[in-house]
Amino acid sequence: MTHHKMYAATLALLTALCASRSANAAEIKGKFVFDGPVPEATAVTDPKAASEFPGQTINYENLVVDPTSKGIANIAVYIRNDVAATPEATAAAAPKVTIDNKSGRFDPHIVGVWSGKQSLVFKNSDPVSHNSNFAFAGVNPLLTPNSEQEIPISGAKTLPQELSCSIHPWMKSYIVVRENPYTAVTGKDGSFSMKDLPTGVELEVQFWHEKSGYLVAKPEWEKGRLVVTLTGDMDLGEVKVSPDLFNK
Amino acid sequence: MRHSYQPWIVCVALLGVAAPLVVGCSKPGNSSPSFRLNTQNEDPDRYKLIGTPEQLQVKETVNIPGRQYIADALVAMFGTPDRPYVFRETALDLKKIRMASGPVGGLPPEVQKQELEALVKRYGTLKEGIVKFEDAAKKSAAEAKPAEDAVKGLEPKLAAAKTAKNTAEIAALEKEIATHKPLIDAKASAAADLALRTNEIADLDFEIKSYSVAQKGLYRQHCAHCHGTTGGGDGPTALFLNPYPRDYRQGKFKFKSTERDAKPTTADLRRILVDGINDTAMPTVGLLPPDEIDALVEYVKYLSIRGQAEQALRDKIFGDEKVPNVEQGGGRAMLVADILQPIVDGWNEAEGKIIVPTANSYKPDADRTKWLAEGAALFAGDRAKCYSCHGTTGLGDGRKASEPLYDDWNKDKKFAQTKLLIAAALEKGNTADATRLTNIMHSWDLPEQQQKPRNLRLNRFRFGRAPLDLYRRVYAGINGTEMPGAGKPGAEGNAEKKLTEREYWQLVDYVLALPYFNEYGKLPLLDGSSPHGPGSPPPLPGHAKTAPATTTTAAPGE
Repeated sequence: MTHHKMYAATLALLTALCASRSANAAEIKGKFVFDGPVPEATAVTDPKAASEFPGQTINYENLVVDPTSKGIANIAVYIRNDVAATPEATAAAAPKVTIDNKSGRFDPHIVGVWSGKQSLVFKNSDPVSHNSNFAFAGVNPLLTPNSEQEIPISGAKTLPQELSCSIHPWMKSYIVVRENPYTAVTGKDGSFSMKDLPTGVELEVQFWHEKSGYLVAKPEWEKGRLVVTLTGDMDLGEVKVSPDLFNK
Repeated sequence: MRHSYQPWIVCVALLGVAAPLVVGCSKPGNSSPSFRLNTQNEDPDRYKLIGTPEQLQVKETVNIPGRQYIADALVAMFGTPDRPYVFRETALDLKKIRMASGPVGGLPPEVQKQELEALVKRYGTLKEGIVKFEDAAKKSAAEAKPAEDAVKGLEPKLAAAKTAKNTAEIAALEKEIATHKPLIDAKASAAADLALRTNEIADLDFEIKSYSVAQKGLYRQHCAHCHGTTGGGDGPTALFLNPYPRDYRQGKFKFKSTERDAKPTTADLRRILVDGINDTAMPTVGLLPPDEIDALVEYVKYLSIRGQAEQALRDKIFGDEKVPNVEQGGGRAMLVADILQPIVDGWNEAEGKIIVPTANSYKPDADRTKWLAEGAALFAGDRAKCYSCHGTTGLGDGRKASEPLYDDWNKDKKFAQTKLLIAAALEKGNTADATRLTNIMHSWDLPEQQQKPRNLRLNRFRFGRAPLDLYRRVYAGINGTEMPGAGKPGAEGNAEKKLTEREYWQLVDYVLALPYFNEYGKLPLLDGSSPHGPGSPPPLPGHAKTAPATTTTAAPGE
């Protein structure tokens, strides 16, 4: 009956609290590299791009591979299951996550937001207006030059949510909305680091890329997920990703 | 100029749909319709599905397949199209919903009479039986009292022992407290049993009262052929319409007086029903008696809340997998707290989220040409950016054909829910399920429909042409679409260069004036002083450009 459940829940909560206090926060890191000839960046040919952002090359960012390191940027790494944040992670989380509209692109291209704790700020650093159509939160604010708008976030989704600009059709980006602070995104060289994770708790680490969807970079990562219980730091090392995964 | 639908198509389609509906209502019982989804269960006995303590216990110990649980829970919460129901917590008016429900003209009186009699009988039995549970609750409360007092006495001792870190005493005290636990648990259990039955009696009372209103089948008579029995925007005529009829189930509405992320008010929905939506297939039902219109408004809210609850249950049970990854049960309390309450809160907040301009903020300049020219400059400028979709001259041609626009409903089609469900069913070897899913038409399966930026020269506005209506479009945009909203206006001379309220009104007036700007040479925007680059836009068909470029648009002092 319900009160039994309540006792169990309280016990679990106490255990979780004790665990997070006594545990050293752990880190997962790794690096994704493109296992094939590096695809060339495609420039946006929309005349609007040339007239509004003169002298700048704007590329589509649905697959960004660094020619020198072959690193794959913009792979989102997040925790799929319900996990309590460690005090370290809570302390490290800024109250706001800002997405800037800069030079005709969203900066950063992919970002995580901790639902209920962090709010989103859509900012415009460009001399022209942008808008930020974010259906998840039911908003689509017009952002005049140099303005910003704060959006409170509640609820969560297991898939990254689309953010787009209706005025500049090439601008499309993603926001990972989770009820935990654990979202990392690979940088230019394909590496990521997710810090302050709880140890001794089962984690379902999800890898996702906008072109591949769930990134099954290794055959044992079913649906692009790595289930792991950390006892200390974990380094996935260099993960080679087949180009076939992006041919969708 | 395009018309969204051909009347003859609607007539033909109506003939097609009306027949089965009429036939369907003559044989109630074995052919009563169910809401779409996945709701196979039409069992009218809700408490058999989720309610009684015994069954709750079963649900907690036995795994219930996800989809079956959703179907059960939805029937429990919302009933069926012939016999709708809502939990009291939704604050919906079940009498109104009942009036709009059922087959055209309502179920035969004898059927309704039987239903009511069954409800009254059950109510009587429960009311009579409640004494037993009240006594049990009282008895166990009395029995638990000494145990509770004992625990209360022991707790300070335990706290003291903990402070002193006396492990032996802590263990002894905890053991003693544990001996009192069964009696305290029994009290809570008896109280929960009583609460469930009290709740069921109140639910039944609520439902019985709704029978004081005659069922008329208004929704199926006036709305279902386009909006579908479930309100999924997937009625038989939906395929022929552009734009498609609204799918209510996301709880997302385009035309309303409230903030973008807010629900529409009752008045907003009523206005749509009375006025229809200009330039779409949505007609008016304004000739119906007021109580019938109110009933339909309530029924739309009912279908919308039902759809949102369906989505919330799907999210809870399926996540983004579309196949169950959680096997889960839960009773009335869970459904109210986790599923219904957040949805109902959203609807209840709507009245407080109406967009209201500052009083007396509309102060056009005495020089109307200058006032409109400034509106034109905003419209075609890089701050308001209206031109980027609506075109420099407001013809709705600002967007390249290679860059199609889709609204949220059409974007959802990318995920093709039904297709995924079919694939999942086939993977599990469940061909019967796959066939059933293949045979349903669903708004998600309608062909993708592009959204067109409005041609503002037509002088037809979907949600009214009063300046206040357009002010709200500038403020909130159009929910669920690519049309952004500028939000709260900035103060005069604000550093961020946000649009000010004065500029909102300039845009409103300019948009209202646009259809009348068809004579070249007299237009602030088209006279060569266009703020969007030199020269004039190409002339409209049938209009030669004749007037000289010397006009009155220059602001004084320039």
